[in-house]
Amino acid sequence: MKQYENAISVSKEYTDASNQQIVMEKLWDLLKWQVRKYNGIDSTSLPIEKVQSLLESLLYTIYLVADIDNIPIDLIFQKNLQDVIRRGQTILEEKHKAARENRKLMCLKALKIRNVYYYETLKNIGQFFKKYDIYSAAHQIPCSIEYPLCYPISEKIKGITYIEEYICRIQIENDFLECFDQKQIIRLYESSIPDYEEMLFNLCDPVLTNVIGLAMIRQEVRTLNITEEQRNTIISTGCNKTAEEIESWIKDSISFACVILNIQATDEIAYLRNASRGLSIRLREAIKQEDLSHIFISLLPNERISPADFI
Amino acid sequence: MEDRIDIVRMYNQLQFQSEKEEIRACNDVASQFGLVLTENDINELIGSRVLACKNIGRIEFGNGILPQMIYAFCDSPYLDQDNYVNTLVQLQEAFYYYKSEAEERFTDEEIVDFMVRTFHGRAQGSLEYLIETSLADLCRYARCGSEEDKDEKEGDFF
Repeated sequence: MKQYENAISVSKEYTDASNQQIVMEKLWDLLKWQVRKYNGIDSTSLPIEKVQSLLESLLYTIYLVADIDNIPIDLIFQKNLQDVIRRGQTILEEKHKAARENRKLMCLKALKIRNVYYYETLKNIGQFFKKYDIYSAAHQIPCSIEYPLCYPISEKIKGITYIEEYICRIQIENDFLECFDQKQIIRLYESSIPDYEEMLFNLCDPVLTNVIGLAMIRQEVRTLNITEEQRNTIISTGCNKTAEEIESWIKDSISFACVILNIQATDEIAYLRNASRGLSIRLREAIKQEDLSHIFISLLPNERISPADFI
Repeated sequence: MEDRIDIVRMYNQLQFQSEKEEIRACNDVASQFGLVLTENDINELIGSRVLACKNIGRIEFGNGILPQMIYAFCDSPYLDQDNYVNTLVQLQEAFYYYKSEAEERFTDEEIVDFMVRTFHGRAQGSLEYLIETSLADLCRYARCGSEEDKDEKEGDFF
């Protein structure tokens, strides 16, 4: 759906070209056709916000067809746009069905870690499939998604494309967390985010960060525990590295961790790399300050964890 | 908004011609009641419709409400050639305003029908009463419902 990211502005560019009038007329006729279907015989006018929403829905569907059928944007406007929309609606129906199945799988494989936002979002995505309107609001996401991803989706991605991508990313994160002992994961949360069950944060993020830290110094990543000595080793190794070198160090560490954790799928490895993009800047600053304690977390011993530790 | 296709501009360029033709055709019926629109009148009416839609935030996809309005009102005893255009301008503006105000709960036909019945009934040809009292009440009724026993103006609605 990359093409859709610029759908509206690209269309404008296209309408600025020599065949501006033809494209405008075709879009206008398409819009009239859609409004007639939406309004029936009840009304011939609509509020401008609704019209814009219908137009966005049509453009979303056109660009989806262009993307799936690999048709250049300038060529798709030469086709019969009503046929293009019908083709788009067929694609959307198929996507709807497939995403619904993927959502079921995602829920079946959901983490057994309590977090209000995680579970609420998984539940809310179910509403999407009840409310999604492929005919007049294909670009909308009619459900509330609060749980943040480790690597967020661009806000320009809309409609079912967003939901597909969100489910895919959650599944990758779930698979990654499945590589670890759940008790260790919970200890990590308890050591850094005491009220993790109620907090809005990504469950994968602290785990991935500690895994990268351990992989940087080639330690056992499954422990999820980074000691003070290990943090000092990272500081002494990293203090002379440039920004690019730290970035490449992180990248290399992810590759190392993926081998250890037996993660082979290239899309998962790429996702983990993307998710750790922001770490290099934070890490470089922390190395300068010689304090990594807020990045790489030490697990508190079980018996020591009590609310008093966090006061 | 700068990146968006300007829907209103699209609309303005493509819509006027067929709208003019349809309004012009209304003269065949309205002239039997002594009411005729000149080309200037038609342009003025379309101009005022465009302005009303723009101010209210609506887009018209058909040929506007004017043809329906003309057919519904042309036999009115309260209309003559002198007040014809001015009345249509106000009726048309009120139609779009209250269509939005009623949150799309009424069809075009229902609103026009209500306007005709009220104009010829309770309003006794008063545009002011029709627009500022009856249509406003109708919209309140649409949005909030009415208390049947207490609402004395219910007669306007049914």
